[in-house]
Amino acid sequence: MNKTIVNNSRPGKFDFKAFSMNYFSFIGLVIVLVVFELLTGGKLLGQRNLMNIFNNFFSIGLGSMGVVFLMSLGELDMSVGAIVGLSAAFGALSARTGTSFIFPVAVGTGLFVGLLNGIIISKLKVPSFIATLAMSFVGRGMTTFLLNGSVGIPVSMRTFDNNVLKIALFITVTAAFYILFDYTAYGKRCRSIGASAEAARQSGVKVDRTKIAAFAISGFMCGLVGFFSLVRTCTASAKTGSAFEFDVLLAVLFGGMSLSGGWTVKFRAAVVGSISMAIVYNGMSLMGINGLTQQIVQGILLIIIVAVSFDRRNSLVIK
Amino acid sequence: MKKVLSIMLAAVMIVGFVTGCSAKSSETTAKDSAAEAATTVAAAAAEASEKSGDPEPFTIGFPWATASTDPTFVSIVNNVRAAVESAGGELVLVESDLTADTLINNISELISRGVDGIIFMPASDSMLPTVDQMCSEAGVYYSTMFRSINDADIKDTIYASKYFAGACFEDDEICSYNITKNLVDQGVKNLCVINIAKGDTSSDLRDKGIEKAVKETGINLLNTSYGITVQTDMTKTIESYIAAYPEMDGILLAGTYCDAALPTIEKALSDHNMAGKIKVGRIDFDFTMGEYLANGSFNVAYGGQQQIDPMLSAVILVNSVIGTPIVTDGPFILITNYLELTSSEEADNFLKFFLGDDPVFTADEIKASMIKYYDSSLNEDSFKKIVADFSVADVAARHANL
Repeated sequence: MNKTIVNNSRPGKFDFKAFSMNYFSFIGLVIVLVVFELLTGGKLLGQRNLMNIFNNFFSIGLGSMGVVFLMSLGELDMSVGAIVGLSAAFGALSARTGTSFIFPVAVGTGLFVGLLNGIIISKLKVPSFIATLAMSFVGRGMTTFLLNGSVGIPVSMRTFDNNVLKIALFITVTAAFYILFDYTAYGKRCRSIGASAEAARQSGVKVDRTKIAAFAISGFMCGLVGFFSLVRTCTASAKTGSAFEFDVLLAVLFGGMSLSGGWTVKFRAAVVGSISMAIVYNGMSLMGINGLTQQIVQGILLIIIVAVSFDRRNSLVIK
Repeated sequence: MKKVLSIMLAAVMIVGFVTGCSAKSSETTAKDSAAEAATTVAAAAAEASEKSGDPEPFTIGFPWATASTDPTFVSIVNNVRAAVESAGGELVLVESDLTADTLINNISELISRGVDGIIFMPASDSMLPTVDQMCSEAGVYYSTMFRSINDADIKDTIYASKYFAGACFEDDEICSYNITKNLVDQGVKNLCVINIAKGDTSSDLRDKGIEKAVKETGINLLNTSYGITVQTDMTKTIESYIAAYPEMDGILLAGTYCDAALPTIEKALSDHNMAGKIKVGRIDFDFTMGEYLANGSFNVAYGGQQQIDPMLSAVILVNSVIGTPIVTDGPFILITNYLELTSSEEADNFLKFFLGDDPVFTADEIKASMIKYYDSSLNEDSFKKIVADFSVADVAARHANL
């Protein structure tokens, strides 16, 4: 089947449709911000509530930024929730030796499982959906077995659940990953593999190594999320990180991320999508909408946003 | 242009967050003063105008699984709402999956919405210091329902907190001990158990009670499965039990968050021609028990606390929020009794009076007998009597004409 890139843009003439499509994730963010600010009678942008929104999107944002690299490869990671749980579990257990072990152990666990995912997918050629789904079962099982319920850590560790620290970390990670994704050879290699793995290989790109690194990045970020979940609740339980993979997937879709990978993947999808999703969740909660209706609204919003924001202009058209 | 737009949006959010952070301390101080002032004003008002007028309007936050249509979950909301409205308050519900992470986010959100009190079901002991810290900083009272605190250090910390109004929970260990002995009395010698996820305070205590009864009676505890939340897993577990333990003659559903758990168990047993041959008991009443008690495929249930526990926890909180706490020297802790249900008539009454639209005590009944603002003679003993008198028959008699 021949694939031809159809360029719909007309140089020199303002294309409103293309503009709105291209900027829809931003426009969508502004729309949900304005709509919920009005519907909640100004409570949404209240000083304290802004921190609630931040705390909601902090974890999802970190997780989303982690999966951007592997999604640009055209891969999926269904084990991010399980890795968060396992990282928190090992982190909590390491606190028995000393609280200074919590951070390295949690992040190290995430990194290790991410690496394992990458090796299974690239070396054993297991499709990422299946490999990471299997890893999520392994991770969940191990978490339940290790914790035998739940394990607490000293309350003094809550000092790390510090908003200033989290904001600084979020900005640093966003900046570093943005540069890594958009301006380094590694980011470009990821997208070139997503566009055509074979072409990338023939151009000298080390496909396996790039994939392993992408899953390791995702695992590392999950470890970070696991650590912050642990210091926020001072508890690791079998439920820690449950359904996190869906939150992350929804967030990147809200941001207009292409699931097929390649050059159409934009880093902003992770950040803008996470913020939009946190605002939608928080706004509906502030409005007192019950959980059942929230699920319906989320589903409808997702269909609308993905249908409108999907970047078709730069996507491949199969003829 | 995209970069400029991204930077602008990011800058707006960051400025917002930073101002959010810096505003916290002054907001907290203001809230503290407001809480103290409100307490003083309410106390003075209560003293000055006992039984006349109502307390100042207040709001109580309640993180709960509002998406659940399970009648028990719905009835819990009805009972909490009745307690809050009995003193003229407003209930603010937020959707929660009841995990520690989400509950903490829910509580943070409720505090920012300016609620005066928060009632919730803790996911674990270790999350409580975090909640206490958040509520104490914001000057918001809180109470817990269903769960006791097992960790001695955490218990000391929480019980010493000015903002912990109290709790209402049942004695899970005694309950599971009693129901196990009841099954043994009915002839069970080889028992399989299904319980809530390990680490859950109630689950651990129920395990202890079962172990104690098993040890005392000398029966065999063949297996225990944990954390089943969906019907397909429930079916698989029962089928595995049937296949692996031909000697099994009893199943105890010690706890689950699975909807329609009992019909699922009965269906799995019926499919293998085992319904009625294996004794089945469960802790926590549900809406299908009557039918199975009538046809003999279900044998005993201990429960009924799912309605009164949250209602009394909310009453304890409301009394503190309006400035008339039941006890003044610490949190008010109430332990409720499990009700035993062995006939289809009792099950029918439970269905009608516990899981219907009305709470087990209406807002008017609560106002008349449980709110100290309206009746200053209320004390610890008044509540112990309410707990002791509470039964399916008691609710049926009081609400026969509603």
